[in-house]
Amino acid sequence: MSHLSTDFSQVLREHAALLGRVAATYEANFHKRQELLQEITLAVWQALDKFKGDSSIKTYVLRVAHNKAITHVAYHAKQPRNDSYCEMESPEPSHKPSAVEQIDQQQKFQMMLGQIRQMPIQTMQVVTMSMEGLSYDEIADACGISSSNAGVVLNRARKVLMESMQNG
Amino acid sequence: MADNQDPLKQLWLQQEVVLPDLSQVSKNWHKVRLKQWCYVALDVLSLCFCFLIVWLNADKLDGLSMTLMLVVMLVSVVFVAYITWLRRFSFGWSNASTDEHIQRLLKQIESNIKIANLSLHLVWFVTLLTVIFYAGLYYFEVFPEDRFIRKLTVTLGIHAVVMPGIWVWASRRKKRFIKELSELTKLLAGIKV
Repeated sequence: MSHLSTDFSQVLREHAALLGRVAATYEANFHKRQELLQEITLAVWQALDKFKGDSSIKTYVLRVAHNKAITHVAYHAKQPRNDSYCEMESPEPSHKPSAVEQIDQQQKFQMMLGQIRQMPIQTMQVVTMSMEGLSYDEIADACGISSSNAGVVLNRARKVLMESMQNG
Repeated sequence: MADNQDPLKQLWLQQEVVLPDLSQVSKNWHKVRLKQWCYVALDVLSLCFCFLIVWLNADKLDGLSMTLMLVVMLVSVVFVAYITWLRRFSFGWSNASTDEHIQRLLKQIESNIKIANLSLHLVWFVTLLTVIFYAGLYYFEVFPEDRFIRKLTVTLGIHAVVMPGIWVWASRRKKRFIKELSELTKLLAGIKV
């Protein structure tokens, strides 16, 4: 596997934004986040070779990406996870929001991400996987917990997030 | 609540992200592979080199020295095999469930602390072994006195430089891994929820 095969390359392209969001969840520093994103993408690419179709490709990609990100934070734990934001590349939005809307949305998002980064790793994973559109069963499978446990963790985390958004 | 009406999900999916550079991933893959092979090759070659030295000097070594060398070699083989196994995990990826992955990660950091501890204990153990070895050489009068003193001086000189170095290195690693373990435990517990 010396070059990116067309199929793998296609999978990585389809899940590029998702991988970017996983990296942003675990690493706040812009440069370290880029580094982590490359590490995650490499890990997913290597792991795609072993994909047996037991789950959806999205679940598999998320599972490998989260595992790699956890390894990253474990070995770079001395650096703070919350850091100032630097420049960003924006995906094409469906509609062009006004400058005020953009600032408001950015503030809300940063508040949400700040809250998520303070959660235990498992909660962080459950809540972000849910927001990526995974079902309870898929989240449970990826995290190695029961579906009911995933539901309890998710509901508790969502409550905290909603409260902080309303109070913020 | 329908997914398209969930404000959290909407906000999450609209976040601005950096996209991965796929051409860079391909380049990184080569670097990672090369690094992996270099580490393994270095471990194996250093072992082969030691075996070769012992093999070439087998006729010059007395029974006690030869036995000691062989014991050290056998311990080294086990060490290299274990370290190679650990490297295999640290450079790769994991498609295990996250819970399983975290347990492995914790075990690996704990293993790293044990290895660092082992290296620390190895310093006084090797020193003790050297003392016993030279006491044996002196007791059995293996070498004439002037040659024995020359060998002892060289060995003491090497020990005086190498052993404190290993001690400081292992002690720093131990502190680093203990900190990593404590930080990971904190991350697993989180601050909220």
